[in-house]
Amino acid sequence: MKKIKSGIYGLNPLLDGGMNENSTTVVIGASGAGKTTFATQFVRRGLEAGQEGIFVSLDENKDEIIREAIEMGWREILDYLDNEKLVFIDASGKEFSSFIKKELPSFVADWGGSNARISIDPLTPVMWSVQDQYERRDLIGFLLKQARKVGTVLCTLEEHGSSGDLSGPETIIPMYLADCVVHLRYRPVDGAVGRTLKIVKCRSSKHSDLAHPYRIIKGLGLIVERGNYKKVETKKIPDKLREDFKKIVGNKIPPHVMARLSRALKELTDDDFEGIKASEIIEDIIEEYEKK
Amino acid sequence: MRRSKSRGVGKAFEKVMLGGDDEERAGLESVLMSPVRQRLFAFLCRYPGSPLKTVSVANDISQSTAAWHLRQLVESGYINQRNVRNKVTYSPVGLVDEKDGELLELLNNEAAKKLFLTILSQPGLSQRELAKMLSTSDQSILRLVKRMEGLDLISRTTDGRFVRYFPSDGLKRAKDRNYKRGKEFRKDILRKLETDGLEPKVVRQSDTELMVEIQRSRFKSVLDLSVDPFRTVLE
Repeated sequence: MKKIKSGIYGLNPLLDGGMNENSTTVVIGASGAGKTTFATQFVRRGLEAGQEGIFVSLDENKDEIIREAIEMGWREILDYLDNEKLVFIDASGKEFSSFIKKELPSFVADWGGSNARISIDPLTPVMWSVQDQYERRDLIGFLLKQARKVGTVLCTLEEHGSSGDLSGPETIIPMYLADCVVHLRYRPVDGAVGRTLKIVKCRSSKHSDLAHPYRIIKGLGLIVERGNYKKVETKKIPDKLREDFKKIVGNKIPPHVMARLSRALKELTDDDFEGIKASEIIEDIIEEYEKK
Repeated sequence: MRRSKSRGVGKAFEKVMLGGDDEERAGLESVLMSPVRQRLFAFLCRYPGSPLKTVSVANDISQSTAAWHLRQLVESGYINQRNVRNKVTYSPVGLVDEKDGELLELLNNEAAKKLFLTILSQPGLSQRELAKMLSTSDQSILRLVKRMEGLDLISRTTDGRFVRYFPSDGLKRAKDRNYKRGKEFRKDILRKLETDGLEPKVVRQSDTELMVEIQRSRFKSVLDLSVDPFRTVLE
């Protein structure tokens, strides 16, 4: 899977190098958490790398977002708009949802493989445009599946309520369907602002499980602190397992299974075996395949 | 069909979102065959001189969508845009006198409309009484009555220490001035529809209304236009 840079300083190492190309990411956060800034930075990074950008705004109007982007120090946005490498679209939830149902398939047929970056900010009104839960899941699933054929997609999602556990029906559906979920936790406590970023999931990536403090700095945007997260890349355990396989297990399991297992072990690191004994794994595998 | 993948995905997306592709597919190359534009055109016949925001809110479409459709209507000569008091306003071509642009702009303003209707139904109220009735400030009433006096919509009478407001005949004069235009407008629009190949068939018409069926290949629809803006603007 090809990794692309997220555009958020400090986030890539936590995502195992960046976002997966042609994947869908959902960024969840309360008002003021920095969702729109995140979405803007994501599109900007693509433009800087020569990709095209589409920003669908379902909430604030186009001019306001552009004005804010300029205030945050991104004056070049006007050039990208002028030469049509970046397109801003304001739509209502209903308009966008009717686009998904009616026009999206033929649009994807024409423009699949465009390798653009698409930000949808926020996805919430699209969810609300459909009452029925089943239909809602269908609509969002279809959108995410189709849109990633056109490029790499980022949707923001409003977090309502204050529980912060992401269990509300409005967040659950997109969380299941997206490839990657980032939670921007934002709790103003007694005047002080507490912002932390947590990667809830990221398919096919070894991502950080920690909550990372982040800040929004004028001109730089969201900056995530790595904190104690350091990827341990040692491979002692899988290397040892592979040797043991050859010596101990070799004649007890079929050769094609053996080939598959040693291929799998090449990809793993010590982190993957935290808390498990290598000897136990070997016993389990022998038990599975041994002929009695 | 696969187009070049490298460039233009954003523009193409914008076009689909704004409904452009849809119409091309249906072969509706004529500007007035789009249901959205029919709606906007009928709206502007009823409320000429409306600014973009009013058009967008009243028709429940986003401002960028409304702006795009209005541009199509302007380019094809159905409506024109005028700058009135630093605001871009839209009116059907030929429906109202250019001189009345400011009058319509004012009456399309919700607060001004309410105030004028109040003075019409209860002549002789003072500024304070009007402010109280409309739950607004004395200052905003003052600002509006000044503009209305300037356009001769209302006049003032001093009664002791009170200033009282009465309807004046500015609106009636505008109505008279535009009476002939209504008739001309009906003729002109039918001629234009004919020229644009929309085969207009009049269903019903009167001094205040024109209902016309238009057709392009197998697509048919009915335009129901109000042609008496100085009556409808106050509705």
